[in-house]
Amino acid sequence: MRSKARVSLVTLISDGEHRELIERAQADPEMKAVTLSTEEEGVALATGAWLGGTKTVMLMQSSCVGNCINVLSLLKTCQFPLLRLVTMRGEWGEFNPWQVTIGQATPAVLSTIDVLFQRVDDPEALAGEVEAALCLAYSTYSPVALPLSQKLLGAKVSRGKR
Amino acid sequence: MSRSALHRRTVMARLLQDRGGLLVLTGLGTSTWRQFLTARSIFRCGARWAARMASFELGLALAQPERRVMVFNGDGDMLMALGSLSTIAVVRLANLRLVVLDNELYGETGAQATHTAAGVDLASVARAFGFPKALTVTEDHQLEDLRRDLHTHQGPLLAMVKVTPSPDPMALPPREGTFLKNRMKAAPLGPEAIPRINRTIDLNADAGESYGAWTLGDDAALFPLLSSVNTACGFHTGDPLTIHRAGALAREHHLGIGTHPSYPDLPGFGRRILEAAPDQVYTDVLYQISALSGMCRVAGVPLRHVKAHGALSTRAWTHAPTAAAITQATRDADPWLLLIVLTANLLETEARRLSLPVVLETFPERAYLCDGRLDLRSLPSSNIHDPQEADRRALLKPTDLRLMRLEPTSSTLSSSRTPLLVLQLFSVRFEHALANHAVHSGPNLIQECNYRRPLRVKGLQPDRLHSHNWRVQRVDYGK
Repeated sequence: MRSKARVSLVTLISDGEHRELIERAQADPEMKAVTLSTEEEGVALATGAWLGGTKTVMLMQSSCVGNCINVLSLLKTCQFPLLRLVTMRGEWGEFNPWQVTIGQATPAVLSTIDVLFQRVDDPEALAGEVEAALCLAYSTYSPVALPLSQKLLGAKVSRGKR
Repeated sequence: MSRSALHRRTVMARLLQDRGGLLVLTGLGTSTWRQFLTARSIFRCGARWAARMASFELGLALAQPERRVMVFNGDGDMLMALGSLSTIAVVRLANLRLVVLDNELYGETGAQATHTAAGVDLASVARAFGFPKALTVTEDHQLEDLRRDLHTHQGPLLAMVKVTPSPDPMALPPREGTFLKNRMKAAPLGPEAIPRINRTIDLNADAGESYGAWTLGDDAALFPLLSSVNTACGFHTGDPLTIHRAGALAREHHLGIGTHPSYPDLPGFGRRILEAAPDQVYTDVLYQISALSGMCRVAGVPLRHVKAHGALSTRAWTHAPTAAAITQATRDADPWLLLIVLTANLLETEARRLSLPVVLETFPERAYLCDGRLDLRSLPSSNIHDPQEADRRALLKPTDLRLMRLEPTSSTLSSSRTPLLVLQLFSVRFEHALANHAVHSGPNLIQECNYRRPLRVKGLQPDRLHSHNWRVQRVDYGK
């Protein structure tokens, strides 16, 4: 997260896959981490912060993408930048049927509302992909998402019986 | 529920008195439509997005801890964003204020009752969330305390101000998102913060230069090529009939129209410097602005800008009293008037001192000195007659030497001297350039500065594009 782009605000919906990143952001004295009550809030918060001169990265899960589709329309209308790191569910190795529909629909939802996105599968490439996405978002005033695939993260294992 | 006797307009006027550096955001609907004309540091947005204005404010307040930030929300907006209210309580910023103008109904959609009408008490909700201060305002005498709190209270503050559901006359705000975004971004961070790609160029020329039996220039052929004109007002040329026609043409071609005030010097075409006292310059300029403003009102087109003509302008570059007289007259006539100036001179300095909206101009067909000043017209090398060279310069200048900085720019062509053919060539190239260069970034920016002539854009209706150009009504809420 400490990148050339000088991101100093992280907004998040709690998510197990983002846990380490969340804890590091919370511990970093130069960062502010804000926990959100809903995803829509995060989009509004990031745009307001950018108007004030602060860059934000928003952390969320694929099931959250559908929740903020309407607020995302503002980003295009006003040409606001935004970067979201989206941990994917409902795909490779998924065990939970409730995750599949929205997980599979996530790319379609993103493209429908004109969010630029580049899926990441390779852990080696992750840092570079984040840097590139930050550049794309904040240099071209575009909404950008990086879906982090379940292949990258490792499929979540059910605590109960498979 | 008991209805409050407070009036929304009074409330906003009282709360924004002596606003100082307070940044103001507004939600959707009638609260916005009262507010937008009063100041530049305001962001609003349409559609359901406005319900998230409180979160938007939280982001801005986080990024600008030294500035106090407030939102005027409606009760409908706030009810939709109770989660945001809890986040704001948890983050607990000292500089964040929420004022909810609670008329207990959805005013925009036909006055259906909101939950606050049934007794939902959002001030109590906010206190339960952990707001250090949350109150309901129903009486006039509470407003002054609230106004003080907006500036001095430490910690997030929520005020539910109960207002009467009055059908006030509307003043519709600009709808263009990037214009509003840039205006708001420049408020805390200065104009340098406006994204470079969001700059616009305005193609401007002097016009209305005929006088009585003498015809100068061809306004009917010129106007369609431009995005704005400076109209002579009778002091160096331009008789009432010509001025009147210019107003009608400006309306017909959707141009921004401005006053081109001059020294009173008809025989010298305003190109000779007169030793006029500053108060005389002040009244001369005020007189010319008032004349054109009246003509424009009849033509149904708003007066947009002032640009000093010839010797008056040249004198103001180096003579502070003249510069001060021009800027003061412009501001006194209408503080919303843009002042078009060349950069790097006293007129620009004075205009900035008075916080007039400044547009920096560049002459594509004139040469410049390396410090940004215009070269002397009398030198042959100063006048560029090759349209391709002029074209190249017009595109270069905005990014060159910070000459144009980050304000909207105005490319001025002097119609009395530049052949129409050159203008036509230039205009075609100019539109082509706008469509293909970084100075313009797509249909969203067409109305970024609400005084630019909109280009035709596929998919957008002309009346929609033009609607921002009309200032319906101005409401004075104090400074």
